[in-house]
Amino acid sequence: MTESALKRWLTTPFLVIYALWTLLFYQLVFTAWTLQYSYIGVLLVIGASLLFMFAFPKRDRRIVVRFTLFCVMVGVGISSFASESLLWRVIDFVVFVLLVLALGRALVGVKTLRLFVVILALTVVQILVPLHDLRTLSFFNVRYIGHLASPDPQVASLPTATVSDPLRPGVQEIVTLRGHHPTKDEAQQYVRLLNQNPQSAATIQSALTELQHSYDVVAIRPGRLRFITHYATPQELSQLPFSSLGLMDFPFMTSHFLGLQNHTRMYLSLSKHPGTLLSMLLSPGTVAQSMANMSLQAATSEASNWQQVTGQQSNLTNGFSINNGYLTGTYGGHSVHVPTKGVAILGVHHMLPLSVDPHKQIIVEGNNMIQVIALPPEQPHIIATLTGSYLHPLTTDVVFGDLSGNGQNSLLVNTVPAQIFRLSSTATWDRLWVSGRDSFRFETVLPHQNGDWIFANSPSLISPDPTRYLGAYVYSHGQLQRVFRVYTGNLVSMKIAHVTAKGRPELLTSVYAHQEIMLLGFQHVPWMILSEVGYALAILVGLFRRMKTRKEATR
Amino acid sequence: MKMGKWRWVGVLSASVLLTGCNLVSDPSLYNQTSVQRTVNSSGLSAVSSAIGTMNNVNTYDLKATMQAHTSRYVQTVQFYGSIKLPGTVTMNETIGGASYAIYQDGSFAYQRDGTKWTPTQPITNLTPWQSLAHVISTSPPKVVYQLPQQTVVTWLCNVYQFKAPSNGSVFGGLGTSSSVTKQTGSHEALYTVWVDTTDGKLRQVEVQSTVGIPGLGTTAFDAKELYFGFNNPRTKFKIPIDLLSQIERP
Repeated sequence: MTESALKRWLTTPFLVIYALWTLLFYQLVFTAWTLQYSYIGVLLVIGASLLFMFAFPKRDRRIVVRFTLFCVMVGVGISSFASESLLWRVIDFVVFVLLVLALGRALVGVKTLRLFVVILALTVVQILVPLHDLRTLSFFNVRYIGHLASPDPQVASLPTATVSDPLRPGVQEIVTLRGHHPTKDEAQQYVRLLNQNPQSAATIQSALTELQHSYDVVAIRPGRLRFITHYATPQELSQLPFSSLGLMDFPFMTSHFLGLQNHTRMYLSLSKHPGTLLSMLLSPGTVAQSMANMSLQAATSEASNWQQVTGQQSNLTNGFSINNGYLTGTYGGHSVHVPTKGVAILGVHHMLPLSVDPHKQIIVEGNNMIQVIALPPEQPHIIATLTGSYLHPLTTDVVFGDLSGNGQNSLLVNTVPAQIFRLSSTATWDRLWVSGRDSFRFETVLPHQNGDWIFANSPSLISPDPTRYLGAYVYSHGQLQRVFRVYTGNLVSMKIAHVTAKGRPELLTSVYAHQEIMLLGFQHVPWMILSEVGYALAILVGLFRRMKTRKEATR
Repeated sequence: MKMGKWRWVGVLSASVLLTGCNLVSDPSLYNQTSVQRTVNSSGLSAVSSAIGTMNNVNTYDLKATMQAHTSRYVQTVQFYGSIKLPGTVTMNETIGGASYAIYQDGSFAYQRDGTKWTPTQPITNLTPWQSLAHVISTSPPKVVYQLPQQTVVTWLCNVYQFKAPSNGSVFGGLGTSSSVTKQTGSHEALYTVWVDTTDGKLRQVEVQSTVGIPGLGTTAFDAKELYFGFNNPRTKFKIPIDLLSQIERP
């Protein structure tokens, strides 16, 4: 029976294509169904699988089912080897292949050479696109993955930022941190430097002490064949505020940046001794004050250190700065000088309807509140204030987006639960939407003509599992309507970037608990629909064949 | 019979197609905390008497977290250990994913970073309820709210909430520099206090507050500490073996 099936249609290229399709289908469709629809999804998977088996002629069913199971098992197995290049993993892999070949021979009954080709194909594909990234294919393709091993294995996510690339005008490059691996004789070189440059003794001493626990500040840009990582220059870093790279474990840890010969290095130190922290905690009457003081001390020291290392001259954001309780700057050729309680500038956007005020407004954040300042040439003034509470504090964890495509921006706030606010024409806040799930959070927006796409991480709708998945939504009639959902969890700190080409938006993201960063391009091939269509076609052809043979038999 | 089968298929496919593709606005989660609390005129005296019951506590265990939320980052420090009054402490801490420990017996105080113990300054403020009593006596809150009863671990508790200023130096502790205190000014905080319904003891205290940091915006804090194992004679305060061997090593 098996021999005849092999002779008829199970050729080696078919087996390879089928194996890859199985893996893609399993990752893209079955995973999505079960995560999206929970128990209904499981029923759907079982139903679809039974239908798939039923559609195959009885004599081939055995081999198809067994080969499908074999492909899923091997695919998942290879995923633990594919991304590792260590020698012992290679030895492991050889043993794995031998075992899998024996299993395949006994379970599936396909010739060993053919099985070997299938395993080889699955391995090569997984080296190029790792198994967990296959799930992003429903909407993204992975342009770049940076495995940036951190000296601290517990680090939640590596910070990322974008700066304009000095070598490619109009395009950006990625700035991030990479765990520093000391090179041979590096300590010796620092000792020599220390004696040659006594004026930078303190910096070199720190570099020596923290040699094994520091990060290199690197910039990443696309090269001809692959992405090229180089040390970020002070000129590149001066485009960024200190907060873009310096908030790892803030305020309990303080980041220190060291300007060494041709590169910048960062290390962390405790802001307070463990004993001092315990002492702060054991005084609940003053803990808020002492934590505030600790944060201010850490931020002040980081900001001055950053200015010193990058040579940053001014602390302007969108051409404005806040000094001594005043917002100062120029807008449309007019100088602006307004008293404000704000301490940080969030951005300059059209917050009011364009019919009410054709000028943009500046949004600032103070202690647990956000202020909107109108910028008419005659008299800039505060028009609206949004205050947070201690239970739902307002941090700078906000996103601005034009949700209806009319040019007016809304404020997407990551309080718990997340909320959307919009200013009315009389400058009062309308609460447009509140999340029903406390773990829903806004990440970024992708500008779109008829209303920006809101990228958000949200939990599976039915499943109680807390893992959050990336999705895009549009706001319409009081609801967030889903555009797509990618069943890849752990993607955090997203921002829209233009790294590979001008005018082509990409998504820069950090992977939670994996010390990885990813650059995702928007996928033009609808892989999910294609694999679903493939599945439906296989079933239809099978059913049609069954009906035809039954008809012939009754005749 | 056949009709029924098709009806079930219809129901199943409809449920698959209709199951929440859109996210509707649902403010219940936001309103939950403020709707459920009521003003309690005797709340302050309930908190004061709970603090009073802590006077006979000689030893207690502590489980606590300190959390700071800045921009997109939420950082947490965790504490777990035991305290024996007037001056013995054995405590484990996790800061930024790394483990630390404190051992103190009177003026003998050491802290462990990784595997190495180093001498440190002893902590003197080991009675958190006195710090709370100080806040209530110096600036009594105008309004005290009562929240619905909650079970903390296994203890059914009355929950009280009030706003009060959080200023001055750390009460009897290591202290903070006065120049920085001037910089931030006086700080208000939201206090939530859990009082055990059976023995009237203080079970848990949560302090929530915010600060505006130049260039960074708001940092929101949350310190939550749970007290348990009061006067437990089985709580051990032995000097850690690795500290002993480090000191005794020739």
